Amino acid sequence: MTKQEFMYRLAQQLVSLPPEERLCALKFYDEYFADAGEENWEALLRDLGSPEEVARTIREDFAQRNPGYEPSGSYAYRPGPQYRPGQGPQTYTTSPETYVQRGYGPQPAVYQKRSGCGTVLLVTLLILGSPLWLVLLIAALGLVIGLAGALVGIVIAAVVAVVSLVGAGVLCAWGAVTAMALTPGLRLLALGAGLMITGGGLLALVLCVWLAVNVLPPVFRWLVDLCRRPFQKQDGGKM
Amino acid sequence: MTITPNAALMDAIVLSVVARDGTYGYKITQDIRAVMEISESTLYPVLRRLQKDGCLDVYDQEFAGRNRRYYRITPRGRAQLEEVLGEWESYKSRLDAIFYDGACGNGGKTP
Repeated sequence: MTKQEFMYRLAQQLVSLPPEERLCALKFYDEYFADAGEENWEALLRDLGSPEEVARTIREDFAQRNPGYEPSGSYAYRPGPQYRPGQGPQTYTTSPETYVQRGYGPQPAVYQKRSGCGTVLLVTLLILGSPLWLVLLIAALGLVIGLAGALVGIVIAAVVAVVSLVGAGVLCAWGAVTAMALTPGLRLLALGAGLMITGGGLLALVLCVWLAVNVLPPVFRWLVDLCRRPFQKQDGGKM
Repeated sequence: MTITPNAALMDAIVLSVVARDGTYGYKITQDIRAVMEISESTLYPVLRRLQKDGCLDVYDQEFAGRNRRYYRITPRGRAQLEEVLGEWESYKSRLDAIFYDGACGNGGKTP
């Protein structure tokens, strides 16, 4: 292992730290190598051991001072209550750019926080990466759209049926009153039948309204929830 | 080496080395390595912690065309060092009593 490689791997292992902490550690080891002198680098590298191990002690020390940070190497850092970025008397004469120029990158351009973007990216990658996922996803989407369509169809059918029922009842009653050639008995019978049909239709209308108010919204909410679930998965999910 | 310093003692050792004269990372490690076995990677977390605790101060100075970070002890660091040194003296004298005076388990038979 060369000094360059050590510094590069060390930098990689410290990406999860705030930039200030990370630069301070890199600056320390950069100076350390310079002060040791190139002729001693071989022995120094042997004694330092793996950069991963060195980075672990640095992260653990930082974690002790900042309770919000997990030293596991997880890429998401959420500042803990005790961490204040402006703290401390550091003045860096070696800027971050210098470290990149010297090849100790990678410099994290944006602090990686867990967000919806990550999940969307992951889902996109999964879709692109595996045809099986694509097929399953399309099938699931089709099922949900189909269910929603069926529901809409049932609602339309119910509305049409109820309206025709009421219409038929009113027409029947109207006919009973206005028809010319009818015996009084038949006229009364038709009127009664028309009113009965109208009443039944109005009853069905009330039932439909009740269903629309009480049953449809939860069902639609459930469907929407079903569609949204894959995108809400946080850690450890399969997607 | 079977006897290794714990964190508090390590802090005191580093504070003590820095207190002697303003010094830099590599030199501090080498000074300590002259008297005990410590890995080259031991020092950084200790220095960083002491600095964050306000026991050490840092300043950069040019050396051989580059910048070198120097450390110096703060009044707070000095106070902490004094405290550990006091504890160390009492600890040492108690151990010495066991090691050299045979004071251990002799049922109050003091020399």
